[in-house]
Amino acid sequence: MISYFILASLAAIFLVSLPRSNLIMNVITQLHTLIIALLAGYLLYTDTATAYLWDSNLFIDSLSAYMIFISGIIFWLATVFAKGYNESLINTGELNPKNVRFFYIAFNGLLLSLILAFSSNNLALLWIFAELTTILSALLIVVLNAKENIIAAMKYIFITSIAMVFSFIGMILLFSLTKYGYGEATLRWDLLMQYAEDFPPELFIVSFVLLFIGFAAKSGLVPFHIWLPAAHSKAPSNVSAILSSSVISVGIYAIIRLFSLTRPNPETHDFASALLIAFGIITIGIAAFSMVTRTNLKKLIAFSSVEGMGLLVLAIGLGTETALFWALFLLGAHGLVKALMFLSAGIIHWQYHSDRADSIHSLFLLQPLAAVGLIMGGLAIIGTPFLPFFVPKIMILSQLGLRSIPLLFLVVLLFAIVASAFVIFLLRIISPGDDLPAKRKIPFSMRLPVVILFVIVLLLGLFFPDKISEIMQHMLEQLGWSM
Amino acid sequence: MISDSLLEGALKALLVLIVISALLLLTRKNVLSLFRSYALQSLLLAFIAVVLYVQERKIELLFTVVLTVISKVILIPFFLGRVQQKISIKRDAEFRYIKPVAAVILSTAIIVIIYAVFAPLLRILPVTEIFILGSVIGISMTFMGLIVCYSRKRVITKVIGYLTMENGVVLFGIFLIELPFLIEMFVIMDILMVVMITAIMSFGMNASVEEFHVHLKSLRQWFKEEDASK
Repeated sequence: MISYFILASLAAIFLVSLPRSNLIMNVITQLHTLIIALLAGYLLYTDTATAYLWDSNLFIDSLSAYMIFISGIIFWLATVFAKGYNESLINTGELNPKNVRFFYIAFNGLLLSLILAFSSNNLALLWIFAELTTILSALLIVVLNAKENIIAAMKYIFITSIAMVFSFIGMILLFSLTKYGYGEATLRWDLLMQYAEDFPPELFIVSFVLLFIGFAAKSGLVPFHIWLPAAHSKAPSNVSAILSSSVISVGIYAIIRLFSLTRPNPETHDFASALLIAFGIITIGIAAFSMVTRTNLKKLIAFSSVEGMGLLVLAIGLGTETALFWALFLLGAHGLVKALMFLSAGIIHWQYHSDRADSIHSLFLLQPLAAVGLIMGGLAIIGTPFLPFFVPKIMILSQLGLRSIPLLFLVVLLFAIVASAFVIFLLRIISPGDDLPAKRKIPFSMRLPVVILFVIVLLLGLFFPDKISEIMQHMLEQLGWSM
Repeated sequence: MISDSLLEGALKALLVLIVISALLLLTRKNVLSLFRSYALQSLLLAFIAVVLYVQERKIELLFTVVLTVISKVILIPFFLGRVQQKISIKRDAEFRYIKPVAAVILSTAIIVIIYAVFAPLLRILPVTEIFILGSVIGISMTFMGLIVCYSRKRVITKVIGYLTMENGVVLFGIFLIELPFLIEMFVIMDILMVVMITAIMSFGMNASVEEFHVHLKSLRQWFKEEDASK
């Protein structure tokens, strides 16, 4: 099954690299992303048992399929969006027409490396593919070759690569633990799950912390988050959408798997749990206060991604089945909402040629769709009832309350700050301004993904089919959380 | 054939030399001499792997030697040299926050602290004292590389810092356990990618305004249009 994914991606990369028109490159990428999404969706729907490939170095279980499914959908929508959006960037001179092919190659390559990262059964392979996603994302950021983009991409590569070096030390340590404990050195997830119980706690904790540093930087947790707002706001909006939803999920994905390893060993588990909760709350706090003072729309959304990652890590750290169940749901929902917001921001950029609050006004008059998309996204993130973040947030907070009431109050307060930041900003940009610039017509290809995401987010909030719950349960079982 | 004590002595000497090479990287201002120190450091790393091979006879160590010599002693310094010629930066004398002398003192402190904190943990594993020493030096080198990344301003020097960190990890790795060939190859590929991309980008950053003429020109045109419409 995995071989189909890889073949589809390789074929797409090959076809895109042939000399063709922009339209054909776009269509190929759309086909590629759709095939990936459909394959992963099929796997999820049928609950196929874990499949292995290449000496068991690659595998695909429910969690992998889920991550690939979400990435596939968002990549597809971002590709549809790219059709019109790239043209607008070329017209304003921000995108060099020569870079379009480069963009599509890196775009397809990024999806392939994400698929490989999510389906590696080996921590070392995950490390390598996670690094590869960093490099390819950085290339997608410098597709707009302005100086700020280069600086943002450099910051991204440096901070994550340096943190990933520490991860590598942790990995070597884990590797030697299996060797000296079991005679056979391995970094395979499925074997580590069996062995982890008997690791000496002190060394396992050291290795967990080191590994956590790298993946925390990858997912933009405070204090390693400084690259994130710069990178996500300077990238083209469709790239920001995939960065903020799929690429930062790699870190969270790794953290979920690593944290599952600590479960059988109470001493390690308690430490890891405390560490994750601390990082989660600090991240939410710093992100919330940073959001209040933002004047750049995309930076605001980027900081809210930091906040989202904080919430996810907090939920994972709580370590109960309920919390992890909702964290997994939130992981997908967060991706979809972020894609909705960034794509709406892309429409706004097309209209105003700017992301700054002082040059955006009368949004409802000029671009009602973008306004609706942004407001919907904002409402979802702050946890409005009948939107997808509501139930997960309530459940995670209730789990936090079982653990510590003061922390619960603190987090609720921080959420209120996040909410006020969104309200202040959105009110600013929808309020009417003095001179109304000419309304620009938005191509259908840019409107369609926003509408689709809007509908998905709305439906996810209103209905919670049993199938989704079943899939989440399945993931929990495979991660060793029995329900 | 060769006595163990002699090998151990050689290892100790090489470890001392490698620390000195890391200190050189912290203090040098001439970019070319930074590259040379890095190549020397990688060569020392390869020597350590050779000595370990003589001692342990593990074939993975030979792979490490070959990969290290090809990539880190020859390819990367050569590539960096080419980039440096293009950017034509001769010296990087700017230090932020941490001055060279402070950096040397800090590094010494780091080695001592890591030895005090980390070595007792490693003693849980069935490894000999010299291996623990090597691992400690490896991790300390990673931190020294971090200081280089943190305290230097030029991207090209930061790249050297990153590479030093990476050498530290390899040192740690070969003392504690030998990584399988495939993983090592992938990691080397990865490092090559990071180095190439950052170096090329640093070319963009340090280049003059003309490098961005396409972008700037079109931006200017756009502003003109706006003015005309008003």
